[in-house]
Amino acid sequence: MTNSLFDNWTTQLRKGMLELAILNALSQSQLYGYQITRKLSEIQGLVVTEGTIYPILSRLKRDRLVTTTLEESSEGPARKYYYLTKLGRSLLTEMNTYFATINAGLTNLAGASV
Amino acid sequence: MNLTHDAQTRLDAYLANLRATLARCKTVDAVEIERDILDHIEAETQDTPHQISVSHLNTVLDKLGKPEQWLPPGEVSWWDKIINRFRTGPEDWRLAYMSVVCFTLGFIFPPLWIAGYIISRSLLARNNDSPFQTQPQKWLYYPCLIIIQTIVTFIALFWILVPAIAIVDEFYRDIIPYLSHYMQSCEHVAESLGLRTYDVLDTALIVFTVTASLGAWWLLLSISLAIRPKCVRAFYHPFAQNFSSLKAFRLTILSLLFLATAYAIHFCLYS
Repeated sequence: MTNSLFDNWTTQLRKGMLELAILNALSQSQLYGYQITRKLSEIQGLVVTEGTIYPILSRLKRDRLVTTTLEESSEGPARKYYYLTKLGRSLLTEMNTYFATINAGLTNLAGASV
Repeated sequence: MNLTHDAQTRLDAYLANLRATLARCKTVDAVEIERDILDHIEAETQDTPHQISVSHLNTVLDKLGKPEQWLPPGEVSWWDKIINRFRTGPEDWRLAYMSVVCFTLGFIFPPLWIAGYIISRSLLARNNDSPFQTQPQKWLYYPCLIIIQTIVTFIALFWILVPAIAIVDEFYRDIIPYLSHYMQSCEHVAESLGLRTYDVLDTALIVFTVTASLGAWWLLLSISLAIRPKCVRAFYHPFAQNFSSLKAFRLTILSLLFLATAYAIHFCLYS
């Protein structure tokens, strides 16, 4: 029962966090899909199946939060790079602020309960 | 990408599943995602000096995960998920689900149980040496096997009763005069039990007909099965793999018991 609750909770949390993580990964520089998966894989427990990020990228692009550009690559065919749009950057700021507020609140709660 | 033939087949199947899964999701661009996935696989395997084997490709695809796992719940309806499973799932699963559908609809239209039985047998033949038979999904295709085998067993064992009872019923009036000995015996029994003579005679005739016809038919059947136990093993696969001539003789013993009972009834009434 406890394990099932934990699994459910982590699944829900991951889903919400992935979009934030992708937008943050793109905030520094433009990246192609594979690079994004590599960056996100560094966060332990966040990416269970690497393919999950591609439908999210597609949705972010549809919502005009990211856009793409094709660039020649010395290692093979041209690569599709994703980068944040102005709208995406603005939403990311809002999301980060919101997350920081929640995180601070949770940290306070945890501190109070110790 | 330089893929082996097996790897190319595996990739084609994976992309077909991806297209089928994402085609039902209105919020994403399936073509773009397919392109992204191909780029991902290419980037993941670009350092491979030789042809990409199917096991290497499987490692990459396992990390990518199944396309069904990528979409949030609610994006694809349960109906689309079932259709997709039928269209792109492994053959083992598709046949197993078809069998269970035939089993369920068979309660409305029983001939579908035969179709389900054939599908289940195809699945068994396909996975003859695989561990599939020991996994829980065997219960998807066992019901059709069990129901058809039970019906056939019932018919094979008891069909003889239909003509036997019909014959006795048909010629009942004709044989009554020849049953004077029986009548006398029945009168004694009827008196002691407080029943009517004809009731006792009817019951005795029915029991005699049933035991004699079943005894004779089962004797023939058991001898045939003892000679050809392979037929039983083949029809009742995978449930009767240990069936042998010795086990067929159990039916012979039962048939002899029935014949002895029939003879005892005849002897008691006739004497």
